[in-house]
Amino acid sequence: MNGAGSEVTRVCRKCGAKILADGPTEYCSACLLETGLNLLTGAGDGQERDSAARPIFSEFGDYELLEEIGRGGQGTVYRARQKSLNRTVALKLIALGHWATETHLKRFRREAEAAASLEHPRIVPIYEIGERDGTCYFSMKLAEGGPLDQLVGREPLNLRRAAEIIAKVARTVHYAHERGILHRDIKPGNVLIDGEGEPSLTDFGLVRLVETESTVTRTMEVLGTPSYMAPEQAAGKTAELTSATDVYGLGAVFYQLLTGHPPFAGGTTYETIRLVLESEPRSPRLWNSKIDRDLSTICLKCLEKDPKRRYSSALALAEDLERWLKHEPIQARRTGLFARGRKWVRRNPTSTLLAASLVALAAAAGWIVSKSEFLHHPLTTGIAVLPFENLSDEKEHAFFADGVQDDILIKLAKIADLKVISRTSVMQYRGKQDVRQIGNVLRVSHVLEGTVRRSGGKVHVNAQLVDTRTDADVWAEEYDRDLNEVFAVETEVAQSIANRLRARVSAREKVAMLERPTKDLVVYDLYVRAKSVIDKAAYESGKEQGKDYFQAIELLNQAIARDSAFLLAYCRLAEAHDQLYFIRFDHTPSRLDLAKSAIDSAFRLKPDSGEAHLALAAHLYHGYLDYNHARDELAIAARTLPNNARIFEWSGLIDRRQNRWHDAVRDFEHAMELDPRNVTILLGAAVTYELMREYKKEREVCDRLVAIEPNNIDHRARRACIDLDERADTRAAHSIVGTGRHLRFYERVDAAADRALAALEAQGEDTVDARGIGGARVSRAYLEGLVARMKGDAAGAQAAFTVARAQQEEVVRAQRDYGPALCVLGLIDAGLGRKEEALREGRRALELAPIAKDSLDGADVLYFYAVICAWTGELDLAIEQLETLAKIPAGVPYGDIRLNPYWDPLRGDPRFDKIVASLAPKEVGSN
Amino acid sequence: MNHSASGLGADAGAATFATTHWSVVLTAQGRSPAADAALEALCRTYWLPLYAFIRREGYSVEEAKDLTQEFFARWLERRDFDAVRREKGRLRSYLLVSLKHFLANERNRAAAIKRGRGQQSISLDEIFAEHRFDLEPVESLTADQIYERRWALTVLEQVLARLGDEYRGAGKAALFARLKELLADEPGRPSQAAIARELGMTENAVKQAFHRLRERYRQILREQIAHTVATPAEIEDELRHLITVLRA
Repeated sequence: MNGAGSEVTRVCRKCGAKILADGPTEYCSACLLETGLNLLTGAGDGQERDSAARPIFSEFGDYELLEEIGRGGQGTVYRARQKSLNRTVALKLIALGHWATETHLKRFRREAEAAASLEHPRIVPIYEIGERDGTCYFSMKLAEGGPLDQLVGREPLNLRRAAEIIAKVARTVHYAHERGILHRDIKPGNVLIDGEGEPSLTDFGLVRLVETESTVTRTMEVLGTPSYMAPEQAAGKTAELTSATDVYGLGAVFYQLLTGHPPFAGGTTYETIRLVLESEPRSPRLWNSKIDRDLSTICLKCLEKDPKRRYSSALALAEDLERWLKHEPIQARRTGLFARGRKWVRRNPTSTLLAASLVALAAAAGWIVSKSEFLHHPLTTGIAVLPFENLSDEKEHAFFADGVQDDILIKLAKIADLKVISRTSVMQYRGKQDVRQIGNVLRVSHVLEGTVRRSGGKVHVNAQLVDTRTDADVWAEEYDRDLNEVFAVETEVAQSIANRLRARVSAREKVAMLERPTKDLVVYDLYVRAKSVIDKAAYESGKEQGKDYFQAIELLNQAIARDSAFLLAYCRLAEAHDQLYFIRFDHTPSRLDLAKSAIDSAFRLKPDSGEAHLALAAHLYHGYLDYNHARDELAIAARTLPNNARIFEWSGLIDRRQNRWHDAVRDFEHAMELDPRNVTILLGAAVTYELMREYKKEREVCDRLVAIEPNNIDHRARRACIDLDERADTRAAHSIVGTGRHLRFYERVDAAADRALAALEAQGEDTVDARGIGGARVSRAYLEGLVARMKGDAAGAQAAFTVARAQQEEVVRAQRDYGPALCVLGLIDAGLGRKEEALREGRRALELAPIAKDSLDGADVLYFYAVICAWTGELDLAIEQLETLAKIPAGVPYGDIRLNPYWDPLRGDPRFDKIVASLAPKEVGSN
Repeated sequence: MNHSASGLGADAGAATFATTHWSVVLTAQGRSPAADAALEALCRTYWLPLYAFIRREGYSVEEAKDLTQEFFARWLERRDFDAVRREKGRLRSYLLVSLKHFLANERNRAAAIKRGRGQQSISLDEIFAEHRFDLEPVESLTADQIYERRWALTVLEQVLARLGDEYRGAGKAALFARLKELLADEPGRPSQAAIARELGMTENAVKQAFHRLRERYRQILREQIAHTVATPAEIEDELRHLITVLRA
C-alpha cells in the first residue's frame, strides 16, 4: 500500500487503462472492479464464462452483443446484431474516462466522420456512429474472414500472396491519402481478410484529417501498437506525420507477413519504442533466406527511419510491388545496412525522441503524467551494495558480515525502479576503495558501504550511502540491536535507501522486502558460506569445481535440516546439483532428480517465488537443454527479480540458440548493465557480437575483459582474433598462439599448423571445437589429415583421415541424431574422396540440425556442408551455401572466407569473389 | 469452500445491509458503542485517500499526518453529518466535502495554534509505520483525482486482502495466488489448463475453484462498498463510479 501516485507499469490489454505501480496487484484495478459488476456476465447466476470471447454487456441499445472479436487500447469490438435492421455488424465500443469525456467525444466524432466519408470497396464501411451511457460506439460492416494477424499468426506467408495483399492495401491507403486522411494505425489487426481472401482496411480509431491540426489529437496521442509504429510517430512528433507514416505501417505489416515477426518487439512498450527509434530492423532474409532479395529491399525501404527515404507515396509502394509480381525490375535501391537511418537519428538524438515519445505515451489515455513523474528518474542511476567490513573479533563471523550485505542487496534488487548491481561485480570491492572510481566502473551514482560487528548476543551495523559523483555521504545510520533482530535491521536499511533514492516501490515489492530468508542465524551462516563456495566454483574447472559443488551441497543440506522452510537454500541446492550434472562431473539422471526435488520443495513453500522459477529455468536449461520452457520460467522469474543479471544472461543464451539475435544482444547488454564485471556475462556478450559481426562492440567488451583479468590469455587471444575475423589481418593473432579456438591454418605455414597440433596435445584433449561456437568437434587425427592435405601430402592425408573416420563413426553411432557429429563424418569422407557418402551425410546433417532448431549447431552444419561441397567438386552447391553463410549470424566471417584453405577449391570463381567482397570491411565514411 | 455460504449474499440483502459500518453510523443518531466501533473502522480503512489529498494540497508529511489525525479526531468528536444528505449518503463524497471544509477552516486559523494530541482515538503513527514510502504527491493529478483514485484502490486492497486471508486460512494460498491473476479477465493471462498443470489439479477442478473465487470476490467487493453507502441500491452506482475513476 502506498501513496497517491506512481509510475505507469503498463497499459491494460483489456480496457487500455494505465496500470500503475501503486495498485494492490499487478493487474488492472479497473478491470478487477469491473469483475464485481453484476451486469458483466449475469454474475451470480452460476453460469460459467469460459473464454475471452464473451460480451461485457449482452445488450447495447439497438444492438445485441453476440461475441467479442477484438480488444485493444482503443476499445472492444463485438460481433453484434442490429435489431432494427436485423443484420450482423461489427460494433466497436470505446469506454470513456470520467474527466476526459468532452475532449474524447469531440475527437471520436471527428475521426468517425472522417472514416465514414471514405467510400472504397477495400475500406470497411461505417454504418452508424453514436454515444450511449458514456460509451462511444460505431458499427461497421462485419468482415467474416477476420483480421490478418489471426490468419497468419507467426508463420510467414507465401511471398506472392504477401506482395499481393500489401499492394492492394497500399492502393487503398493511397485512396484515403488523396482525400486528406491518414490511417496512422496500420497493423495486421486492422487489415481484414474476407471470404475470398481479399483484404480490406478497418479501424479508423486513429485516423485524423490531415489538414486539421486538432489540439484534441495532440494531447490524446494514443498511438497504437508500437511494434508497427513509425519512428516519427513513436516519438510523438504529431506535426511530422505524413503519408510516409502510413507507408512505414504498410512496410511493417509486410515485414510481418514475410517473416512471421513484427519489425521490432521489445518486452514492454517502452522497450519497443526504444527499438523503433534506435535500431535497424533485421533484414527479412535473416529470418527466412527464401525471401526474395527485391522483396526484402522493398520492405526495408518502407521501414527507413527517415520518412524522406521511404516511398514517396503508398501508390509508389503498390506499383513497385506490382512490378515485382510481374517479374519486372523494381525501382527501390538497396541501401547499406549501416547507412540507413543514421542521418535522421543524428538530427533527432535518441534521448530527445524518447523523451518526446514518453510524453506522448503518458498522455495516452488522458492521464497527463508530469515530467517529474515519468521522465525524471529517481535520484540515482543505480546503486552498488559493497561488501560490509567485518569488525567482529572472531574470525568465523566473516560470513556474517557478508550475509548482512547479501540480504540488503537482495532486498534492494527486488525493486524494479532501482538498478542494483549484482553480487559478482560488487564482491571484487572488498576493503576501502575509491568510491568515484567504483561509480565510473559500475556506472552507478550511489554505493552503500558498511561495517558489522557481532559480539555476544549483540550486533552493531553501520551503513552509509555515498554519492559517487560527489563522494558525499547522503545517508548514514547506526544500529545497535539484539543479534536476533539483524534481519529487521537489513530490511530497515533497504527501506531507508529506497526512500532516500526516491525509488518507486510497488505494494508487492514492499511485501517482498519484508521477507526473512530464515529465522535461524546458524542456518543463514551455512547458507552464506555455501553461496560463496558456489560463486567460487563458477571460476574453476575440473575436479576443483566438482569438489566445491559437493561442499556447497553439504552446507545447504545442513541448513535445510535445521530449517526446512528455507526457500533460498533449496534454490541454491538445486543449482549445485544441476551444475554437477551440466559440467559432466556427475552426468546421471539421479543427479537431476536431486535438483528437481529441491526445486519442488521450493515451490511447495512459495509457488510464486521468483527464485524458485529461476532455479527451475536453470534446471530445464542445464539438465535438459529445454530452451522453450526455460525461457517461460525466466520470464516469470524476471517479474519479481528485476535486477537479476543471470535471468538476462540465460535469456540471451537461449535467444542466440533460437535465432533471435537482436533479442540476445538486448539481453546481454542488460545483463552487463546489472553485472558489469561478471566475466561469464561479458564473454557471452563478446561471442554474440562476434557471431553477429559487430566487431566494434566485440572489441569494447574484450577490452573490459582484459582490464578485469589482465593475465587471462584467452581474453587477449579473443581480442587479437577480431582483426583476423574482421579484416583478415593476422598480425595481432600472431602474438598469441595456443588456445583451441584459434587453431587455424590460415597462413599455410607448416610450422604454425604443427604448433597448433602441439597445443591440442598440450591441452590433453581428444577433440577440439571446430569453429569455437560449440557445435562440431574434430579429432586430432582429423587435424593431422588436414595438415597433410594442406602440405600436399596425399598419402599422409589418406592415412590420417582413415583413422579419423573410424573414430568419428563411433561418435555418430553414440549420438545418431546429432547433426554436427554426422557432418564431421561427411567432412572426413570428403577428405577421403568418398563423394556420395560425404554429400549424403552432409545433407542428412542439415536435416537433423536446421538453423530454425538451433541457430548455432545449424550454422556449424551449414558451414561444414559448404566445405564438403567444395571438397567434392560441387562448386555450385558450395557457393549457394556460402551465400547464405555470408548473411547469417554465426555463418562465416571475412577473415575465414579470405584465408581459410577450406575454400581453396572455390577461389577464382567470380561468384565466390563476390561473396568475399560482400563481407569485406567497409571503409568508415563510405556509403 | 465453506465460506462461500457465510457472509452476505451476492447482492447484500437489505437485512444484512443494516449492519454495514456507514449505515450503522447514519442510523445511530448519536453515540452508541456500535457506531463508535464502526466509525473507527472506517477511519482506519480510509485514512490514506484523505492523507493523499492533504499532501497534494501542499502540506508536508508531518503536517499532513497531523491534519489527517485532527480531521478524524474532530469527526469522531462532533459527528457532524449535516453534509451527508447533500452527498446522497455516500461516505466517499461526504468525507471529501468535510475534509475540504476542515482544511479551509484550518488555513484561516492562526498557524501557531498547537494541535491537540490528547483526544486522538486512533493511532495513525502505528498505521504510518507500515506505509513508509511512496507518499510523495503527484503533480499531475488534482487533489480530488488523487483522493478518488486512492479511494478506489483502497477498496480493492481491502477486498483482496480479505479474500487472500480467507484462502490462506483454508490452506489454499497457492491456489489463490494463481487464480487471482484471472480475476481481472485480461487477455494473455495464464490459462486455466496451465494453472491446473502447475497445481496438479484437473482443469475442471480449477474451473470450479475459479468460479467460487470470483463469486466470493464479488460478494466481498460489494460488501466492502456497502460499508460506505447509505442504501444497497447505491452499491452498483458506486462501483461504476470507482471503475470510471480508475480508467480516467
